Amino acid sequence: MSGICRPNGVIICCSVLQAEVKFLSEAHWPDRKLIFLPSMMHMHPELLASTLESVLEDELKQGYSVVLVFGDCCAQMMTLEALPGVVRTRGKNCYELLLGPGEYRRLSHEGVFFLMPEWVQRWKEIFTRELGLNRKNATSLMRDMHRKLVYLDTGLMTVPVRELHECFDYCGLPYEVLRIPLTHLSSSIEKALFECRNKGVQR
Amino acid sequence: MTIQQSLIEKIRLADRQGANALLDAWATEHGYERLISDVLDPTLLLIGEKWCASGAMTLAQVYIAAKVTEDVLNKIISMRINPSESHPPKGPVVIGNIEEDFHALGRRMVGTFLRAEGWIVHDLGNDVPATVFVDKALEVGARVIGVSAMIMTTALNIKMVRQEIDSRGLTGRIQLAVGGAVFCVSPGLVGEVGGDGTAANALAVPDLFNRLWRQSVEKEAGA
Repeated sequence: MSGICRPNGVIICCSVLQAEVKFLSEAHWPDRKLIFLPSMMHMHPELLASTLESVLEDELKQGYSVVLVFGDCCAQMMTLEALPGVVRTRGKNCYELLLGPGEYRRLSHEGVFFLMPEWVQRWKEIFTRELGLNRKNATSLMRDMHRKLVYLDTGLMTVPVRELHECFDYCGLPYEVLRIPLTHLSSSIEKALFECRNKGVQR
Repeated sequence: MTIQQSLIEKIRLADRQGANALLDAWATEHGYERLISDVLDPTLLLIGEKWCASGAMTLAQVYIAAKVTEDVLNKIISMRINPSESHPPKGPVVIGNIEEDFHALGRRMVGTFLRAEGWIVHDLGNDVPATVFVDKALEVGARVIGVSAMIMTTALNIKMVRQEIDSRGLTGRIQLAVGGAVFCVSPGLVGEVGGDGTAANALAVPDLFNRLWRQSVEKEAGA
């Protein structure tokens, strides 16, 4: 890309959807600048909020409109998306963004604990270091709260079978791999981009 | 080290088995009848204070505190000991996660800590519509409905419970307790959704329910 070509608005996204949004962006919105924030910030919502606020401020100062590809991941999210020139994708979390509201609700009622491709790489760090759960407590907690684990396979990464087995073994729950299309995510971002064009000034 | 300090240490280490062994040993000497009032209650109070002061407890530690409480309650029930010897029965009350909310852990812990204090709890589970909360409260004669939400989007759905209570002329008679992670970091949200009160954490909920129950009785008496 030459230096003269300016990005046509910005998409700020959680890294949990990095592969998926990169893939969709190349196909549908190649002129959008992409910024990814580490998904681990979800373990510290205040840090996510302050980082997001700072990144947003930088982009808005330059006159770009911004689409946030996030769920309702911190208490300040509604305040941030209310800023002029900012629109967030509709969805309570990344699972709902991928599955759509109906399927997300149906699976949640079945007691599903969702696993995302990017998240699976760090499941052990999250369970043990961030949540303080050893194997026995993790099994107890997961069996108390959930009936099964479902890995959302978006088809962009090889299914990490070894990591999945380790995680499933640690949690003591049955699991399945659910192959899902990117249509819901794509449509959600498309709608947000459309809304953004009507909401704020875009360079 | 007191029994309470030892129990806190076991919970800090997320050692459920060790905590239970400690409590069993104490109960063998002093009796299970006194376990809740003499050991569990003061320990949970200390943990709650520590949690409020530092916010440094991990999910595992809080979870283990709830599970140890649950274990004690189950033992007492299985031994056919009347829990009301230490706590006269209170309630009933209704709890659940608001419509579209599926974050059950906090609500489950609230239920456990309420039961430990003698409350009769009707737990409606996740994704509960406003009408169901109020219907259940009327059916069982609950004066307090406790509604949980983890995130802002779902917390705002609690407004529908407020509207349901008010539109049926139950304002004050049925008190609305609200809670969940988002309420701890959003000043003003309790009022925005029409809540009558909230608690800083699951361990503080029994006190909140005591207060709200009293408010309901006073409201009815004054009406």
